[in-house]
Amino acid sequence: MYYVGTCRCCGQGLLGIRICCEDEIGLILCEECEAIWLHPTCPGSPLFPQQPDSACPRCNRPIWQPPAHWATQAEVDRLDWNEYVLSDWENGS
Amino acid sequence: MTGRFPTSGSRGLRATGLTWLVILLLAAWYLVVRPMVVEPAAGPLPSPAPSAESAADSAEPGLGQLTDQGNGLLRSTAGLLYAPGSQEGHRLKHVLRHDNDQPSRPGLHGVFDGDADDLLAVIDEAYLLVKAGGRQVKSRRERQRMVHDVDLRRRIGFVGGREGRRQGNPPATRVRLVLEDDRVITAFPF
Ligand SMILES: [Zn+2]
Repeated sequence: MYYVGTCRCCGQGLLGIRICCEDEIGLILCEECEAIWLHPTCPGSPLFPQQPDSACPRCNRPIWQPPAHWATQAEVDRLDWNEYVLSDWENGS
Repeated sequence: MTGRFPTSGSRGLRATGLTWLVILLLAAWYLVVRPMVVEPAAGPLPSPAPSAESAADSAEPGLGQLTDQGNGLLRSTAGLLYAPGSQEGHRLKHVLRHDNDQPSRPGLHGVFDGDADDLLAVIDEAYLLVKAGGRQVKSRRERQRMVHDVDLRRRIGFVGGREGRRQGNPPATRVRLVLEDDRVITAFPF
């Protein structure tokens, strides 16, 4: 999981780059509390997926189920978000 | 109060009758109503909402037990709902990530003391404090959810993760509960 920082909403979650089901749409998703921003600079108040399915606020599909996934290096390149990536954390799956 | 000074004649008799009627009504009220008002509520209370002080001493017996409500829904003693969801597939599994340290994880990672039962009991205890209100709880709304920081005034875990380890794994005395209504999104010590 390529992460860009720590979630200011919950204080502990890592902010990973998530690809929701729409091609080339990238989100910043907290793997702890599911806070979502649409850009790695995390502007403004976060969005939250709708329960019970954690539906993505962009595409309304479950954020934790395929085809949604953590971005690959190629997808980070395509999003042009490399400058925001702090590291790749393996355990995030 | 009428009929306190009886007089002779039919008027006096009527007054005496009224007096006895009032006395009988008062006696009936005392026998029937007063016990219900004075005596503490009895009955099955598996998870009574405690005062802020009493719950801080230790997690109460019976807290944190889960009842299967079907469709993967698990209801805790205090009323929290653990439902399917999260990266791990179920909120219970998500919260149980905080039963162990992840020393290589970047940043902070709160770790509960004890086993899974202890973890669930402390989260329930924190939720009871949220419901009771009081100075141990600081809450804020984030759109459709609430983030509650609950000070349990005793060690309930430690701060782990890479940054926690760098700080010497300081003790954690508070729980952060992220809820949507009674639905657990996440919970961890800090
Ligand atoms: Zn978060």
